[in-house]
Amino acid sequence: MPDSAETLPDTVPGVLKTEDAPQASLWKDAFHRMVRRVDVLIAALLILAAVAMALFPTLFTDADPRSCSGRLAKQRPETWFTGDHPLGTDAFGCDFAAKLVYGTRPTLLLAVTVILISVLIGLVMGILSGYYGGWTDAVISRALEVFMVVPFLLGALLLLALFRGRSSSEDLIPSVAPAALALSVFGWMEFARYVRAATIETRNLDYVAAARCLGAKDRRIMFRHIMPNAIVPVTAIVPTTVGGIIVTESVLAVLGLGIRPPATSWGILLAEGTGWAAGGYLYLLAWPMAFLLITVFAFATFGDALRDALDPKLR
Amino acid sequence: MGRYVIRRLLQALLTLGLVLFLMHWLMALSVQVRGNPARLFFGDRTPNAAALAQVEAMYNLDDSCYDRIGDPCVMPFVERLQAYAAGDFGTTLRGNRDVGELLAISIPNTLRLFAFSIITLVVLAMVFGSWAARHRGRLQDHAVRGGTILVDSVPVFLIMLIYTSLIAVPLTRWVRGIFGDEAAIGQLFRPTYDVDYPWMTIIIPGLLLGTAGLASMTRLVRASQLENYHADFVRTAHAKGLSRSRVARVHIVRNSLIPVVTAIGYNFAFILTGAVVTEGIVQIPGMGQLLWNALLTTEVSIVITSFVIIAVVVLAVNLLVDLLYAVLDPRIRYA
Amino acid sequence: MKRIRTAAAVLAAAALALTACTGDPNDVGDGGEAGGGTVDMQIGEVPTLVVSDCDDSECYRILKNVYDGLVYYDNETGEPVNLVAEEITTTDNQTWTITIKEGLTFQNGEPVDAESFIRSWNHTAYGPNVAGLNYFFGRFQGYDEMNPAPLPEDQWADPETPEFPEPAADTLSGLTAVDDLTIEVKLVEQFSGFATMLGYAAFLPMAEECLADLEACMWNPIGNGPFMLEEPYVVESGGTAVRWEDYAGDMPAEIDSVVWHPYIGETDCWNDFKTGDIDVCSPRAADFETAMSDPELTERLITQPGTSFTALGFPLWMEEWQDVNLRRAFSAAIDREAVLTVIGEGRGVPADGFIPETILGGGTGACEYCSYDPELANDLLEQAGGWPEGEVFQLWYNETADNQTLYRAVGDSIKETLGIEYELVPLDWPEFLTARDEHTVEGPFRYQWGPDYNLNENFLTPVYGGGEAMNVFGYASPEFDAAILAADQAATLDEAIPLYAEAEAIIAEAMPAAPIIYSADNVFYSEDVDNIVLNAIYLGPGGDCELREVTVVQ
Repeated sequence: MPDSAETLPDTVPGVLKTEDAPQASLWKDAFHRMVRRVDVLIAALLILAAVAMALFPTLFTDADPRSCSGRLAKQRPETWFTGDHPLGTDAFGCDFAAKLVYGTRPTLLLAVTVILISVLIGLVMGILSGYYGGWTDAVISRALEVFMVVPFLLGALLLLALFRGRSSSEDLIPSVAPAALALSVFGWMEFARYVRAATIETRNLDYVAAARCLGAKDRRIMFRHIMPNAIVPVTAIVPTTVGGIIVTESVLAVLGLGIRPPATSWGILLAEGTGWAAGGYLYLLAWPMAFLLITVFAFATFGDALRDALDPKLR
Repeated sequence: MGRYVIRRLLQALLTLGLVLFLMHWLMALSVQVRGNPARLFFGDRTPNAAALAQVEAMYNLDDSCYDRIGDPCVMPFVERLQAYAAGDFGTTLRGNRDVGELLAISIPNTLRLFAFSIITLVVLAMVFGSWAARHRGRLQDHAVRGGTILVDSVPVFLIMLIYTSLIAVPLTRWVRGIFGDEAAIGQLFRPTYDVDYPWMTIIIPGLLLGTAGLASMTRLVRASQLENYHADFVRTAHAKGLSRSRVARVHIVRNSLIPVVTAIGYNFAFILTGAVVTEGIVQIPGMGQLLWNALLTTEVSIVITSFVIIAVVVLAVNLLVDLLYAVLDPRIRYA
Repeated sequence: MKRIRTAAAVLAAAALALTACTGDPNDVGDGGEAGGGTVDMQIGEVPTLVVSDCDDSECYRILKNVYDGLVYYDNETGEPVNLVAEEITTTDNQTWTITIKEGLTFQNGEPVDAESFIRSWNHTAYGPNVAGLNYFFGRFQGYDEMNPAPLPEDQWADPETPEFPEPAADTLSGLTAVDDLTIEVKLVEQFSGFATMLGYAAFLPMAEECLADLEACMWNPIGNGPFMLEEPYVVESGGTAVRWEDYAGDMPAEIDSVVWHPYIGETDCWNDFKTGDIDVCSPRAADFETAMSDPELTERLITQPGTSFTALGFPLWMEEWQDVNLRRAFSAAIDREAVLTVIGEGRGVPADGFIPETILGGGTGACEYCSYDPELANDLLEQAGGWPEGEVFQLWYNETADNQTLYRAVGDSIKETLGIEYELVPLDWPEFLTARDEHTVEGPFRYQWGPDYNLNENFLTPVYGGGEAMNVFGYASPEFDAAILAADQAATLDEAIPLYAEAEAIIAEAMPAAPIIYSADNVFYSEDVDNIVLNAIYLGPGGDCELREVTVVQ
């Protein structure tokens, strides 16, 4: 979720006033700063674990999450990590551990897709409007404002509710795509603002002016000189945003939009678990909540550190 | 300054117009794709064509543009604008209720919810942010940062659901056991909103909603205070021999309020999103619930009007914040 | 939301007409001393409180206490008992004479007379008023003049929008006041079930003041019943009804007032019930299970076998579903015990037929393929030629949390047994109804039926009858129609019941739907209230009881 408490980026973190070499050193410097911090390392490990779960679920569980038998419903995890159902079964009699592990993939896939699309739109829009200024800027800025006026999640809710499809399949792409699109449509503005500000700042720097005088084409200047600078502030907010999208997915699941059963995701498990938690099946809520919280917390910690590392002013 | 205000106002109007049109188009598209919501009027029954047509005409849904996918339906848009200009927000398809009246019921409830959550957010962020800034780089600083990030990682709906389904009931029974059933305090922890106690039963949901966005707000307070710690006027104050606490209170805290004011403005839209979930779980008949139900049932008039109101509020707050900025900070001048 | 299946009520069986006419007014109410106190009730979203538009259970839960109708369905037997009516008589089942008790008034002082009923019914029946319950009057003489057919298509200004001629009449010609307290109704055709219909909202009277200002009356009805609203009802915040002290009818209220607390959306009353802020509540699956293990709560539980029937309907208009063995295979593949484990044990019983045993002539266990038998299911599937490799089947239902849980469990069970993947297709209620009625559903779908009156015939004729286009399954069988006709023509009810059961056996053989469960009603009530009576016909979802009977413990 875009960091809405942030003011307009008057000064953009990490925009350097000199040529390419220090740009590389900024990343290197940030990297060194990051690896020295224990919390960052732990966060990175947790994120890696989640990614591994999404990519290779079979490493973590043998059970099939889609093989469910109502007669086995809600078996408490009394055997603890052993037996047929190491974490018990869910309300439908599916293996709960398998549900959790297989729920990682749609959750993370959604987050990554939304980030990729949003960053891409943000970069293009931001650079175009910052670099060309004038009419281009006026039009893009207006579009930015129009989208900013509608709160992120509300906008996505609007699209998903108005155009919600009928069927909910278990296939990965069709179950993730609508939510991914809706969230991206209302998620790119934050990136565009940062990129635009960075672009304006970079455009007037000496080396860019020099490159222009030497006859460099617009496209070359944008890719070669401006992009590396613009990508810095964007990178700084990506991890936090990923965490935000994971949370958003769970909100959508609770509202019955986004990824829908019988497909599974952490959000869906959470939504189902809350009803049963009060009924004495706390584990149905606790496990997905733990998975979600730890992952989001890891992303947020990582993002926080990354922002600090890339922004010398905040240290 | 005057010219700046006029320019900003014109821009805001343009944005508003665009939002309005975009919303109208989206709704039209939805009607075109999903079928005519006039069907809603009849509930379970399959209406005969005659009755359906009458209802469509009643709600201006009979324009043939609603049958062509992608048609922006300009004529109904103009009619809608004219109705707005006349102060008519339309009526709902189900129950034939006046949207203006519905809004008049919903908005005060949401505003009360907001009041509590904004206060919570600002107070918590100020306390933790100042604390972290004063102990910068030390354990307290890291604890605040970690703690606020952790709180922010918990989705609002989860906090609400855990509260209403696990905590609220035993707490209410315990409090009532002490103070009696009718005591006002016995209403405070109730799991759902009650119209008879419009203030008491909205406090806790408001407080819980206020934890959303805590991490970034705290970080903001901390950063702006740190900046002020090294500002010349603070150094001067110290040099004058003022006590540490007085410097902290008067010079640093007050001056770091400026970015906080800004952030409240931007957070407004953010909290509004949380209202959809909160109001649904705690049963507060506010804007969030109104809008959500309208989205599910394609109540065109409510959806468009709600989003227009949100847009107006966000635009107004943004404008106000920018102007306030100029007032609070003598370095900023708009031309 | 449970809806009153009004359309079927209109088709009510001749069998009940006899009992309907002979209701003894002395049976109703015991006229004891009023006990006082306030009861807090939960309620869903109320669409309107106008008599002529009230077509769902939630508005009727209020209206049936604010108004007194001509008859009231008995709490025990479900048979109509005269309330405002003194006598309902007919000689030929076509001309009906209704006399009204003397000396009754509305809450604003207007008399409850023949005119008050006639003005209400004429208002509802007049086409241009677009009243929700308009179709109830289709059997009255003069209905067609008030609801003309659209003009021929070439006379419309806009080819998409039908246009209508001005109705030729604004009153029903078959409806006349013989004197102040006597109404004469002429029907188009003989209809012996007419008196059974009169307990529904459409036949309530309306005060003149109410009709003159419908807008005000919409949320603040002027009734003639034991309760009156203090202030206009608000959908979002509910309302309070107090006992009307001047009530002169036969079914007075015991309590001083009732407060309705609305629960709109997915949140329910259970948390508030536990804190003591709601007096009557039916929990959802998760809470039900906890509640059942709490001896303090189960002391105050009323549980009774329900009257509704939930099934998996098959779209017979689709080629692949025309093979009866495929339908039987699906039915045998549903592990009904497992489904109940998922939705909460005690919320129903596995259905072994098409009519619950609480219904007269029900509980025959006619369904041969309703017990879980994986081997048989796979054999049947093979006989049906198997299922195309890689194809999925869709389950269609209207979107509520409970439906989703139920049909997921059904889908899981079929998938485990037959190895066929499924997709869920949740729709809005109106969207789902349209799709089902118009046969655009593309897979097995949710079907639920509850009784309009207490006879097994009510679970057959309106559900599977009417031919291919009329019923939602696209089912047509001359054999079934003949069996129903034979039963219809039986001389007495006792003779008719086994004949209807034969028709059920035909359905069990053809299996246009696979029965899943028969419902059970579970209502918890608080320590503060007593004398909780559930009326199977009026019972709303989420927690309901008869407000005229309930008392408050002092």
